[in-house]
Amino acid sequence: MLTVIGIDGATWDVILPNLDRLRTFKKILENKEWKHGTIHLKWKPWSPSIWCSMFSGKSPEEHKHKDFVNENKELVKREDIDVDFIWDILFKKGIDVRAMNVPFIIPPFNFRVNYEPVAGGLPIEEEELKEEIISVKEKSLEVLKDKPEIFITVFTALDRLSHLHWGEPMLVDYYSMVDDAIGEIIKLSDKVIIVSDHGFCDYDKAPIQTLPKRTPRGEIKGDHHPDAIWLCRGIDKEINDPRDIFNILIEMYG
Amino acid sequence: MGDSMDEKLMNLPLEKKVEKAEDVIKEAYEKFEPEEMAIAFTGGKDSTLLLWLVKRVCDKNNYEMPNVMFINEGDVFEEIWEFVFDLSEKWDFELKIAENGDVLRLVKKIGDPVKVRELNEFNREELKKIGFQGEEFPFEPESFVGNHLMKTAAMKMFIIDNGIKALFTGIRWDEQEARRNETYFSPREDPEHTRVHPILHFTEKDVWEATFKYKIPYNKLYAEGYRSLGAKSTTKKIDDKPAWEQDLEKVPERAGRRQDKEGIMKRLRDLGYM
Repeated sequence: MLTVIGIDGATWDVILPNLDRLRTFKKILENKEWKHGTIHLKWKPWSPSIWCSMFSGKSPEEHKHKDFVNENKELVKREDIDVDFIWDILFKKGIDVRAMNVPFIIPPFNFRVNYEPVAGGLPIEEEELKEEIISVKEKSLEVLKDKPEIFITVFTALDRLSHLHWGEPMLVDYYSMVDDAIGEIIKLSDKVIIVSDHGFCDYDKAPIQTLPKRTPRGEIKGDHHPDAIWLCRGIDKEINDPRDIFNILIEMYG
Repeated sequence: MGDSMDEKLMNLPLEKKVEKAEDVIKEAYEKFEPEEMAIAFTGGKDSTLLLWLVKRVCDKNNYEMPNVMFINEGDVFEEIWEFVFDLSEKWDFELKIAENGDVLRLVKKIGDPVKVRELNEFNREELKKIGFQGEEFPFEPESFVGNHLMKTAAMKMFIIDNGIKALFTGIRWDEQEARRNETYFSPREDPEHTRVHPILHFTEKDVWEATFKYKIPYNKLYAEGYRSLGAKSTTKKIDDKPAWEQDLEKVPERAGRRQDKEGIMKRLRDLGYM
């Protein structure tokens, strides 16, 4: 059983200085069964595009999916993206693969999991952000009880929080909630990959600005950094590129 | 009347809002015959208020009731079935069910796969219209494809089969930003008909005030904390308090429902994505 846990926007820059509060990450980093590292993205760190690459094995130039909305300001749908995702390919081969809350589109995508993303996949208010972390955790634990061969699940709350609260102590509170959730999820799977789509940094220092400085929700304090995190157990590979996730799964199950 | 949300109408006292809604209904009766009209009744609080208003106008003016259409999307709360059938007996109207039987015959439960080649031509055409090119899709009435076939297409068939020229619906200006430009009479194509919106100027709070003031029945799910009722498998309570006691101003009414594209677009704008 292999579980891929995505954490939108997670960065070592918050994790490493706060290991005293992030017990799961601390245990993992001290445990030799686990490997970890940094993905230095070669592409612009647009979330929809990176998640799409991660699970389709295609570069952004190949899959051409950039954003949640198209030029006509309409939401992009799964059908608009001309790729076979890892779940499409492996399910056809008889592998029990399931995925939930994968945010390459909004609302995030589910595959063989009946999950309703919190606030349509765009939690903003604190209550919604907490609810997302809890509901992704609970649904993930429920799905894992069925022992699927591959399960992919994504937490999106830290991305939203990092945009609005980068540099604030409250951000660590939410990292801590995600850390607790991950601690429970990894108990139910022997092979695990934990991965983010990009990191974060001060808005003014970010190599690209994915959002305008001022939004109706207030000033944006953080933006995407091209360094993402990865950690894995039970997999004899390094992850240097988002597409490596797709390649690892194909190699193991394809 | 104005082309979009009218602040003056929004600020009228409740009795005046009821009068305005009755005027819209009377105007519809001047334009259309009763048998050419239908009410889209969902068993929710808004369409129940709408049905009550139409019935009141009919009783006062000795008009015949229009058709009362209920869409069975294949994932209806038992409590809604119970409510709509009880009300049809209590208020003595015939409930006409609109449903996409061609899809329903192929599935037993939510998530069952539907093979496009097993659908009839009408449904295959509908899928083409929304750009769906897959060979199959899971039966989920509130997914993009499911919503189109189980609600939009089912309603379309009902309109065509019954020769409906005017359809009353219980939408309101304050429900979603995307509804702010709606008018009381709104022409639609495919199939050609007119949408009539008598309670556009009611707020969510007005609907509850009217419900209690005029002793209009309401579904017990609202008392359990459901604030907006959609498909059973995808509608969640957002609070345990009765709907009318929840924070009507700050928490979006349709927050517990999945199919809320307008809400998603607003969030994307709020976050600066657009």
